[in-house]
Amino acid sequence: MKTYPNTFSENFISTEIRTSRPKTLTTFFLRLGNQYPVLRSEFLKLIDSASAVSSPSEYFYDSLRALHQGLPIYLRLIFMALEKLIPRHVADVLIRYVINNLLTPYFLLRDENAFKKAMMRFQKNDTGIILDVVGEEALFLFEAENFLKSYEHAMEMFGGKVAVKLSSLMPSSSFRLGNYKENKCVLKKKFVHILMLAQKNRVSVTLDAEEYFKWCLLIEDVFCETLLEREWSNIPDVGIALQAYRRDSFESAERFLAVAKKRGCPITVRVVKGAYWDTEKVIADQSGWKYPLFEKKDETDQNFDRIISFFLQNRKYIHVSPATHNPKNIAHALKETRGDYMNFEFQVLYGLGESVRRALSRNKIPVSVYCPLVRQGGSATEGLAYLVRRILENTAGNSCLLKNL
Amino acid sequence: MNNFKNAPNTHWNKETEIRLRETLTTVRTIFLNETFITPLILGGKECYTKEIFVARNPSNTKEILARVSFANENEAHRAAEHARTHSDLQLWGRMSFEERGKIFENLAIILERKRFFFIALMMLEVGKTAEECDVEISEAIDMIHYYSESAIALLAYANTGIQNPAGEKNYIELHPPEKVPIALIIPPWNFPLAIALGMISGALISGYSVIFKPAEEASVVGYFLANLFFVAGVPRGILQFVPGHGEIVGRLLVEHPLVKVIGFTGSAAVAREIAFSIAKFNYEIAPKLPLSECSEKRFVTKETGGNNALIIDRSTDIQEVVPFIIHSMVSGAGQKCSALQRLIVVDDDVGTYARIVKSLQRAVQEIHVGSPDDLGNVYGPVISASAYTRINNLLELAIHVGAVITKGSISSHECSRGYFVAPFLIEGLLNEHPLVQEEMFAPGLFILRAQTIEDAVAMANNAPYGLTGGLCTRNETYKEYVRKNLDVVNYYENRSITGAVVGRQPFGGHGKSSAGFKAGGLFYLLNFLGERVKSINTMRQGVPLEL
Ligand SMILES: Cc1cc2nc3c(=O)[nH]c(=O)nc-3n(C[C@H](O)[C@H](O)[C@H](O)COP(=O)(O)OP(=O)(O)OC[C@H]3O[C@@H](n4cnc5c(N)ncnc54)[C@H](O)[C@@H]3O)c2cc1C
Repeated sequence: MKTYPNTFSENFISTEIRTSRPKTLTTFFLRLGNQYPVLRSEFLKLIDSASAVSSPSEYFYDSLRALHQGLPIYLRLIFMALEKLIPRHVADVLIRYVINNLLTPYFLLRDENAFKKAMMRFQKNDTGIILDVVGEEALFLFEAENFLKSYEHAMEMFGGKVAVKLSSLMPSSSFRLGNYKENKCVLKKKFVHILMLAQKNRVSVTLDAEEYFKWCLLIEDVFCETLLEREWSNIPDVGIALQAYRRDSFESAERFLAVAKKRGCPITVRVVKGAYWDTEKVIADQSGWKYPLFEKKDETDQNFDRIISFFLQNRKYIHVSPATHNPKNIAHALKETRGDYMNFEFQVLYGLGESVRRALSRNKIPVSVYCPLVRQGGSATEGLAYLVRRILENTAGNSCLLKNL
Repeated sequence: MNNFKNAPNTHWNKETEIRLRETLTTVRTIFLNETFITPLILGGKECYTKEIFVARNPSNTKEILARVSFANENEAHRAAEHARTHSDLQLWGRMSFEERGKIFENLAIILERKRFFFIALMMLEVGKTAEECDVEISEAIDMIHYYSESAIALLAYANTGIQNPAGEKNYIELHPPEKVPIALIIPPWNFPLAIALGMISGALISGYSVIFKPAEEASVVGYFLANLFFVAGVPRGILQFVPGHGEIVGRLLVEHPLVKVIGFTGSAAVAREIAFSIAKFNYEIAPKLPLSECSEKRFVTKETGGNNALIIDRSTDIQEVVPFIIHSMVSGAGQKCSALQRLIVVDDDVGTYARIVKSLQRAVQEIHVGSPDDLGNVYGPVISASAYTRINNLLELAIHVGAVITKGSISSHECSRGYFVAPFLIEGLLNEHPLVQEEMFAPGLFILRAQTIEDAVAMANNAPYGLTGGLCTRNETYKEYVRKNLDVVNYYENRSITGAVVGRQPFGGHGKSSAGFKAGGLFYLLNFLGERVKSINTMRQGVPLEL
């Protein structure tokens, strides 16, 4: 019988992850993008335009030629050879094929079939599933309504955990900066609607955390205020994501605890680091605003640990799910659980987190996978922003994900 | 210009919203009401006249904001006389750019402190949304900093071109070229703070004495703005505040022999009139005047309308481009010279045009129009009853010639109170049609079809103006082509085509619809300034006195 170490050190987890990592063409691309930042931006532009321009390869080679200086000789030779050897129309087909059939499925589930397959696979491995309906902001009312239908459909189809982006339920046409009170009113109605659907279908929902400059604490305000209302004060299966890269995130952590204590019913908090670091940086720079996020990765990592410890000290009120792929943070969280996994689980991203997932479940540590599903009838570009964000993140020099890949 | 940094806009959140609402109430109860009368400011003293103009809130015409003392011929003459004779003019002329800069630094600080006050004021007097007013105040603050810094930078730069051989010292100074430098500044109502303040500051920093004739519809903002200069430390004698009717006071001041330079932003028709009267003065009147008054008049900066086009093709991301289009089209109720008037769709495959039109039609239905008091509204009223009628006539005419119009909606409650125009899209007219060619100045859009990118650019260029314009695409070849061939002075790619920022997108300048160096750009002050060279022989009888 295999023995399990009772303390999981960072080293141990790293090794476990390294030995479980899948080797695919996608991971190769990601590593390449990490090594050469110029390539990274070309990859991103290529993905962004592949569906839109008639010849992505021409576009790709043109821009590559412009930045040959930044690349090592062997890569230059490879690209030159590719350009010479493969005719344009073949290259176009190839590029589209790679993006649609290798890259995209690595990060996203493209339809319900793919989702069901993944679900079966994960269930066999005692891995939980969190369903995320992919999409970004809705522009128009009808889009927001469609989104609501997608959530409803998802809840009916799948009775587990569902992640909800409130932004997709509020069309930008009715969201106005500076109109906080009105915005909150609208969002509260949407959230209540979601809660009712969740109750009907017996699923648990978690609100995703979104961009700071646009939403500020609006989503948290909606969440906290609604949960304190009498009608919703005793539903247990409801949660929210908290971004540790926010300088003021610890205050939010304390707020969630206070809300849970006040309502006398626990809240689930998914602690993440935050996915919009680059976007917020650009907005802050362009607007001359103070940057509300940590500027050093270490600060984010430490704050993440601090929040996890804080929640684990208050397990009666807060069910915490650390959502990270970083061995250091995982080791820290495991230490703080003292081997008690009641109401505790790790969460990882579909595809990217595969090695972490395997490592954790091999050691009988509870873990769920966050599965982004492209909704039926969703537009072709819908998964794109998600994809680009993931690639940015995972080709950033300081990302732990690459090391895991 | 290394020290320059753009002033940050307000980050709208819970706290700022509360502060704005409170300020609105305060401004309404303390300042703006029927009993409040704004004076003229002549020779540093406030004075009142019998001619009263009633300033009303365009969102609710029953709400009277103030009674404005309007100048007549008499006051206009007095303004010019004060500008010439007041002792402050000498003092101001002798100050260095640095010394004036200190005062303007002060001005920027005070304006920042009064940001919410001015937001509220503009919301009420010209009906702009809080967000738009906020951006405008940042722009005004930027101009102050930028111009006072650029005066110093320009002077230094001009001197880098000067040679100084042994025995000789040469240098350049920048001064107003006129002996008695008096500038008349006539800003528009659509940016009552930023454009007014930009032009006045440019003239003042350059050393002019300024006569400020605000737009009728923005006289109250004008009054508070003039006061701002005095509070900051601008000598009271060098800024005359002369509100009044353009056809009377404006015309008289333009023709006045003491007024030597004229800065104007407004309609093309008025600009033409001013140009005509300048020419007439220079050729007919000046030669007959006494020597002290006969120097020529000149236009320093002129900024008129626009009929701006945005080109899009099938490779754009519709989700992303629709907000750009809507913003360019309706922000400020479309009453901006930079506003989008013609959307040109490169229709090189089936369905692009239809897809874009469908999205826009939806978008137009969901635009909230109404009083800026309700922070959920995307834009407010148009400025006046005449603007309202003009736009409605235009729409009727368009229907009459067979155009297809999609219109958004407005609540009837709002409609009965103010000059609200629903957003609209007009299809089915050709670019050459007079309705399309004329500047519309309304929250609407003509949608045009082009077969190729070359057609699209030719179409965009075929208009009497050439101010802003843009392209939304992911196609690199298109980008290159349009950058080279679109004939505009402000080009925007993959973004909205309004909202120039000081120091990033200097605005306007020499082109089909404007003249002078760009506002918010390094050379703006050269509109006002002239070079003087001083050459000093440092030898005496063959012996160098200085080394
Ligand atoms: C199940 C799950 C759900 C998620 N839900 C959300 C959500 O609702 N909202 C959301 O925003 N994100 C969400 N994320 C994404 C998450 O925020 C992280 O982006 C992602 O998990 C990578 O972090 P890591 O700890 O795994 O990797 P690491 O490589 O350890 O950390 C990368 C993260 O560090 C931070 N960072 C990077 N550079 C710096 C810097 N210079 N200064 C400060 N911080 C820096 C960034 O947040 C970056 O994402 C979710 C992730 C998972 C696994």
